[in-house]
Amino acid sequence: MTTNADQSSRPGLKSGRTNEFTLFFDVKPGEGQQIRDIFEQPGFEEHRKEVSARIGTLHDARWVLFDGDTRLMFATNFDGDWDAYIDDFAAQVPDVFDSVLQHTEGYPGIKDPHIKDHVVAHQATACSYQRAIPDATVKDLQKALRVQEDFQHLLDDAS
Amino acid sequence: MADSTDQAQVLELEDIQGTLLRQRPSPYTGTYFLLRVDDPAHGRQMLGRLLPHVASAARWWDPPSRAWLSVALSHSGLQALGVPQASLDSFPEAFREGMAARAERLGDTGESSPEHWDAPLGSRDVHIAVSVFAPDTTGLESLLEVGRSALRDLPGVQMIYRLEASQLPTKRTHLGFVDGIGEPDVEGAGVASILQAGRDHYGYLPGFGPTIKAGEFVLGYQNQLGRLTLMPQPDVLGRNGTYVAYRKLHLKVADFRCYLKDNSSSPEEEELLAAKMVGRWRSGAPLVLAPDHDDPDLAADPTRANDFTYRDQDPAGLCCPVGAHIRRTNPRDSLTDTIVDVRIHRALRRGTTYGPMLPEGQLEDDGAERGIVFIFMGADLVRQFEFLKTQWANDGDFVSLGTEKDPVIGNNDGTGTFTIPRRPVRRRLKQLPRFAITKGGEYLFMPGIRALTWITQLDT
Repeated sequence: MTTNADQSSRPGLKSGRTNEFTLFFDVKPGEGQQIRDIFEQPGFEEHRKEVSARIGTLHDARWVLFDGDTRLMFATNFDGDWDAYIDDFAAQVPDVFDSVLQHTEGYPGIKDPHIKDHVVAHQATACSYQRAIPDATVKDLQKALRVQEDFQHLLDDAS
Repeated sequence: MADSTDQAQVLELEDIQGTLLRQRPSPYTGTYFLLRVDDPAHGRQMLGRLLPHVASAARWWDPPSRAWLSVALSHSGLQALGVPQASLDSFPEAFREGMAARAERLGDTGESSPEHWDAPLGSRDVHIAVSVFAPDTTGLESLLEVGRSALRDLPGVQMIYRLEASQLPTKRTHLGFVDGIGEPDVEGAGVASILQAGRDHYGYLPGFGPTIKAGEFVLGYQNQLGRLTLMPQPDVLGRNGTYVAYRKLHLKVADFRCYLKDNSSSPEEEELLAAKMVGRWRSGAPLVLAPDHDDPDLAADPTRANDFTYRDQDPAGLCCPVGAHIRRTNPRDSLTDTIVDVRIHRALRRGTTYGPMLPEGQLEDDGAERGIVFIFMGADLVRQFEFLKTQWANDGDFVSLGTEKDPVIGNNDGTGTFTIPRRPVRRRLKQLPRFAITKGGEYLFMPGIRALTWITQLDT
């Protein structure tokens, strides 16, 4: 029977407004290089920046191939709840995750109704997590930098 | 994303409960009943008696009977009626847990936390919810008699709660606003156009946003993600059903009025401040189109009252603050440059008001219970109702407002702020209290009419 039961408690630790999020996947045999190639594609960096700006809550993100390219780690720190936005990812930027994760075992695709269960099943919660400025979200930091820049201009003009 | 060339699916209106597409009449009077089922056979017999009176959505814009009755069930209610375990397990987790179990994430804490809710709301005793609404007491009385007959000689079904809800003489909310203006246009139903322009107008009205796939609000149809929303099993139980979030919210009207007064220097300023918090003047005229003064003529013209955008017309929120109630709960085009697809976070609202008005101008609380029965309907409690509460009403990060919350319905605690963009310097209100106290709530499933019939025929 098909059910839409999802996980009750979210794994992952929180520090202030930000969560740690670490996923481990098994790479399909021999497809490690195909994953590496994705990040080398022309235009990838620009696309990544654009997507990151739209998401607006990711402090950082890394993909790591290890154990001789048989395993893949995705690790990030983000503000708020990832699962609240999973359907927005699927609707707006499905390729960001599908392009990489299609090379991992059992990946159903981000548009699959059970994608949340799949993600949680591959998540490992940190033993310890701390942030220097736990209450500052990406949006807060961007705003603070804009204010600082304007303030310095003000001082420049006054001096 | 759904392909715009997809054929609109035909809605089985005669199987969908009418209240899903039908807004309350104006004026209206009605009652919500909550029932507990102690004997499954009695419960099914009672449902069977109600069934012929459950209004369908056929001709929802022009109901054959202007009074109507709706039935919804909690997860424990489905169990109490003898729905098989495998079927019970096929419902989504949020619904299985119930609203009280989700209180913390919904911001129902402190004074609003479930231990302070009106009994039996939030308990496992709430099994069946029946609502009856009519334009007048005569129409209502005929339905109340149907209800009384349905319960007759069935001791295994107990009525454990009732709440009467009628439109105020002002036809506004207790806080003094016209509401229920924004309404998603459901594909295949023509909701927005018909509601706003009368029954002979089937054209599309400006300002209601993109037409939303029917599957966002009714199970069994394609949704905005280009698939069928997962349904409880068996198919007959899920099809044409929807989920309901029922909330009884006590409004602290005197506190709201005092807050406006304490933060203004004239009655005109109080009105502007109230409008800034809501995003519309009390008449319903939107700030984006009427930034300085109320404009009742604009509010009364359905082709104009909702015809505005934020990103193009008011990007910085100088007219309608970015944190105003209506801009949060229906951001329209505000979030175009972000990851959010606003079409997957819409809600059908079917709220009503309860309790007597606090007399105009009175600044002291009289101790009366008054507020709104907030009713959400949609195919996904988490992606729609809970998303709106947690991401948009009770947080501000999505619009770079930090932890600032909705000034009207947010779970403020006396330390909140409300930012009003202005030139040269923005205004920031402080010490925002909570004006809407949760007095109880339930997650319910409102089945289609065939599904209700299926339940009455169970023999467990």
